[in-house]
Amino acid sequence: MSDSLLPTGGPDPYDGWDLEGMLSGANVWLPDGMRPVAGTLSALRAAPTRVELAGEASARAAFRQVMRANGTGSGRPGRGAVDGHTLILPAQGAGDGSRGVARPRHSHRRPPRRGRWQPKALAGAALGVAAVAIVGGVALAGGFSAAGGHPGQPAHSASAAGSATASGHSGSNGLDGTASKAPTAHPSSSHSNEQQSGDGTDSPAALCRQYLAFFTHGSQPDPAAESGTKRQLSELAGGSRHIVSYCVHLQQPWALTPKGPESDLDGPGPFSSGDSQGGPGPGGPQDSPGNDQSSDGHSGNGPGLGGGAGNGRSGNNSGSGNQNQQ
Amino acid sequence: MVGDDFDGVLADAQAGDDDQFAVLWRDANPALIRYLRVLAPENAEDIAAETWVHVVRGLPRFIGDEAAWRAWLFTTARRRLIDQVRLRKRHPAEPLEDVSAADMPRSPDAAQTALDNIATESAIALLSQLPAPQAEVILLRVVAGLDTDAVAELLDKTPGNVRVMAHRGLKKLEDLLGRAGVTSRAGVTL
Repeated sequence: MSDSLLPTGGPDPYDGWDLEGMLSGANVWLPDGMRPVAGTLSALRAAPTRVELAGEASARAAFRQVMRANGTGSGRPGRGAVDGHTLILPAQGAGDGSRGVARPRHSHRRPPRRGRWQPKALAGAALGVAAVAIVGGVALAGGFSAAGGHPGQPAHSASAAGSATASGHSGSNGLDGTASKAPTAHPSSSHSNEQQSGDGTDSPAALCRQYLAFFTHGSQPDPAAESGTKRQLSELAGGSRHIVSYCVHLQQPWALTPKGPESDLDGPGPFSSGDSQGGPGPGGPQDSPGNDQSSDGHSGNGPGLGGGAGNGRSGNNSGSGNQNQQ
Repeated sequence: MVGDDFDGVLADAQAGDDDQFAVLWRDANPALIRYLRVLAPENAEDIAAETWVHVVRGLPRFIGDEAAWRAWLFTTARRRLIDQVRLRKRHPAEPLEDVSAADMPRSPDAAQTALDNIATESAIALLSQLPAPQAEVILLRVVAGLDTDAVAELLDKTPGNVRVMAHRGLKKLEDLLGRAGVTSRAGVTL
């Protein structure tokens, strides 16, 4: 008779209670046939062998490493685990019993928030606008020698920097850009007065030139004239905030002359004070002590003039970079 | 089982005390190794080590008693085991056919293991002959110390299904032992 046949007669020896008892190791009654099985299960529960405990040192080392990397707790080794390869650091907050709160180095890093007007972003935007305005001012100051050649407008001999530019493009612009005065970026009061006292109706280009000359040099030879210019330009541009963009847009053909207006400047540029904000541009000096305050390690691509406009992301640089206009 | 001290041991281990972690490790690793040696005899130690790394990473966030701890440990081990099986299917290992048995490396641990606990080795070898689902249920009940509900949850089965598989596994085990001449069923002539 094969032992694979079910026992005939009597209750099934594997009722639920016996099964649970045998699996849980309880001392229950078992039929003879199941006693070797119970012995086998008991052998599975036997004390650990040396091999099964051989990896404790490795497990401890992995534990310390992972816990240290997690920053949770101190990953401090126990008394029996000190070896020559383990640097034991003091537990943070061990004195007051509090657990160290060091954060993981890489986990739970928040993604950069977007769409929030943070102070750094605002400062960067302001710097960017100022840089664009000043670049535009320099461009206009350099290119306005021909600006006076707008139809119906006299050419101004005292224009800042664009005499050579204007003369080189007189044909294409249909202007008589024969400026005789040496190029200078400094507006003179006579220049302003001349414009104001022309035919009584200043052109937008002339107004822009006056405004940007004031803006560029920061001088106020005639505050009344300046305020009048501002007022007129504000009306033309649709608001005082749009004056710069209005003037830049108005004079764009001159600003895009092949010979850059900056190259004709002989005076100190608007960034020559050395305390200008913004790190060096990509082409700027490498040794300037740009102090990039961004925490994520972006290099300081500030709106430096010499290297071109920096990218707008890094407008929060506050380093004092040298400008290569000096 | 760690027993009544489990909460304190766990708290200290979560705070980074590797002595207390070693208490947990010494308590659970033999069971883990035995479980894995039945289901993945080729790389049981590797899977166990990988399991512990995962467990340690999640240890600070673990909340629960000792039963939950063991359930979590074996759930993690089972997932690592499944990953290993998938990996082996994608990248099957080259058989060492050209290496003779005499040239195979001999670890002193193999002999030591046999000397240490022949009965345990025999039991593991015996369970390895069971169908894997039945062996796994028995191992989780006996070696891991989980109750039927925990095993059912771990295996995503019903408790009744777990009992049936355990029952069948034990009967199969009895049959194997009987064939080996270890014992004879009462009332049955071999």
